[in-house]
Amino acid sequence: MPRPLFLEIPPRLGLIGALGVALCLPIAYVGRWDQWLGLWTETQKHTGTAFIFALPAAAAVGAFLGATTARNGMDSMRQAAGRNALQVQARAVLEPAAWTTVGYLLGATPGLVATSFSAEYGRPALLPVLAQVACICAVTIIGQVAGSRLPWYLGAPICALAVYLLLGFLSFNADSILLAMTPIDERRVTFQPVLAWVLGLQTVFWLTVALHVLMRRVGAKRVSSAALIAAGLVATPLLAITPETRGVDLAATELRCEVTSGAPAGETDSPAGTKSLASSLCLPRGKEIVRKQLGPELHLATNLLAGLLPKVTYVDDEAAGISAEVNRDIEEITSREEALDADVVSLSQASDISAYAYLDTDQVHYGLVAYFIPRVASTASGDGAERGSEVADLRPLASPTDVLWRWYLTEAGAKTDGSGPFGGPTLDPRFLNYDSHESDLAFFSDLDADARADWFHEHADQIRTGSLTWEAFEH
Amino acid sequence: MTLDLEPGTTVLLGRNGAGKSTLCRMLTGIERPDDGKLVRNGRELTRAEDWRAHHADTGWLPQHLAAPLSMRVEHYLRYASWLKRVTPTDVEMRVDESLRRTDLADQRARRLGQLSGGMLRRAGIAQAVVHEPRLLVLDEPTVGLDPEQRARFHDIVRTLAADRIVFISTHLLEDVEAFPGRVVVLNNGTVCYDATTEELADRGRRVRREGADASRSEQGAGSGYDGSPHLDLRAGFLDVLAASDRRLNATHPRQEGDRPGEDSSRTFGQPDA
Repeated sequence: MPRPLFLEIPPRLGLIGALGVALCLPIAYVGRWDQWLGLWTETQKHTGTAFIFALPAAAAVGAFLGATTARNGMDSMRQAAGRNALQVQARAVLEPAAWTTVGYLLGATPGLVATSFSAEYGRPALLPVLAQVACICAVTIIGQVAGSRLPWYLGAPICALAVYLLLGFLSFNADSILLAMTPIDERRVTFQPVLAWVLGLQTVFWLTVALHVLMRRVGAKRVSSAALIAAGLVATPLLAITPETRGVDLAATELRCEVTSGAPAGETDSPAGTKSLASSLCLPRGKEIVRKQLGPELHLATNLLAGLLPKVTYVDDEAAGISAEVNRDIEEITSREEALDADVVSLSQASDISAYAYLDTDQVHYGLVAYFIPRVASTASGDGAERGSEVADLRPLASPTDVLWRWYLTEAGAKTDGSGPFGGPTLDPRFLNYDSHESDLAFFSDLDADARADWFHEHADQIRTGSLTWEAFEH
Repeated sequence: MTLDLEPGTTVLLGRNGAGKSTLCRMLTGIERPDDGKLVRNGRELTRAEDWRAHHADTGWLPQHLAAPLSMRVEHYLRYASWLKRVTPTDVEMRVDESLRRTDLADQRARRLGQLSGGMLRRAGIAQAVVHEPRLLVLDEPTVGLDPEQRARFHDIVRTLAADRIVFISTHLLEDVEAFPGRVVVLNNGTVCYDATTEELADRGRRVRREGADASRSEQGAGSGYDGSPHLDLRAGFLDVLAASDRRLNATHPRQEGDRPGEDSSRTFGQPDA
């Protein structure tokens, strides 16, 4: 019985090359897990973007393996082969390509597996994977052919550097060409995947490039030239596309509304009061994963600000403007909820959560408090000496809304010392002067939920118009 | 040059740079002739299919065997079988047979890098014959081998030469002695002598006897012909080269840098650089 033929490239070397490519991918996407984990489109886009590092590595691996096999006598054996040159050379270039493909799949697998366990909607798309495999194979083959003419210590770094510089140049100067010719998608547009025909053409383009290089190596000049012309023809429509040439995943934009309830894990429900108010959250199906984290935060906000917010429906309208269907969907929900006397709050205005799989809850509450309680600017402090202080106090004087912000953010567990995410307010006493209003803050903090709701109800107009005064805190 | 090869052993002798390795590579088809033709079984090799068929029926052991040292011996032979179009069902049988012929059966699982120089050379022979070629070209096959390994190598090649054309390029007279048969001497890219080993030895014997007679007549008794076959071959080879150089110098008067006409005795016997 015939035994399987062994590999030209020692598995040990092939595996090292595959691991080299594999490691480049997680390095590029693992750190941004909050942007893709659980979202298929984002996961595949991030693994695709990691190609900027994986492709140079693939070229280097191809060059290294090509140089190694050339040096150890494989080339002279191939020259004396009795087999068809195409078979011999195809085997010579496909083995390195297979190893780098294995590396790519190994590198992308952790991301795909993680998302498969956490995703609430969608499934992985095959076309981006095909385009990426075709691209990595072609680059490896180019590296193999170039590398077989050079010593490995020259070929590998030269090939890696050349590919990296080319991708870097395109990324910074001609990202539309980068998007058109490679499966590297750097744009963050959750519901607008790259069009299927673009990915299909990219796959064909890279395969014809690989065929051209292979046939040139074989010495079949006619086929090689024909492949080059075919690659050019395939590239022509690709060059016409722009970063805006995208499809719309309508199914993913479909809004689904649910009443928010419960508290984040580890916290008690309605910590600020006994009466739990309901709010609704409408999310596109593609971002369903956000609900389990965002819902409790919105529930908490609604209850903390009870009285100010009678009934709220939060709508994530990130997909607005993509297509008429999406706009119509949002309008229908808005009309329906308003007919039920709910205030419809656009999350794009209240708290930007777009294109994040996992939210920074501090960021959410900063956005919500700023939306519901427009902040009145703190006033500049007077000279401390004027007020009899020996040391000049340069802290701005806290405004009434500062007191409300500080109370809200403290109750919501968000940072108030400026150490939170970008845009986090600095509300701590070391930044703001509350000296004259400690009793006002204490008064507000000591209110029970019902009393606070009444207070909010009473002063809702002042809060919304930014005309809240210290008199509101008098008791 | 015109060279016809017949089944049996043909030893190609020549100085360094005479064109032995180039001729070997042309015979294998690795290098294609700029001019002239290669005819096999009456058919000129021109089309790609002809060359492929020629490759599939030719074994080749290069002078500098660059082998994938991390590869196991059996894998090396399996790969050679694939390159030489051995039917998949025959691969294992052919690998076993070539290992047996080269006394490497017990080394099949070892990596090429773990083999001694002699074993590596035998592995080279094994890959060259794994597909049972009718033409086997060996370029300087015994360079770097110790006497015992060389003797073993000679035995193996003698066995292989029983049913095929074995073409051996060498500059070692020990190889010529080991393969009695046809001897071809190459000088400056031309065949200057084509005869049997015995005829070359006879020529050397004559030269040496004449030299011994001349010496005796000058110095008296005591410096006669010693009858060494090795020295006969050496003398015959040097005489062939000297005659060839004389012819070449007569045809193309010697200029500075030309190879023809240099002192044959000074270059012969030195390994190729």
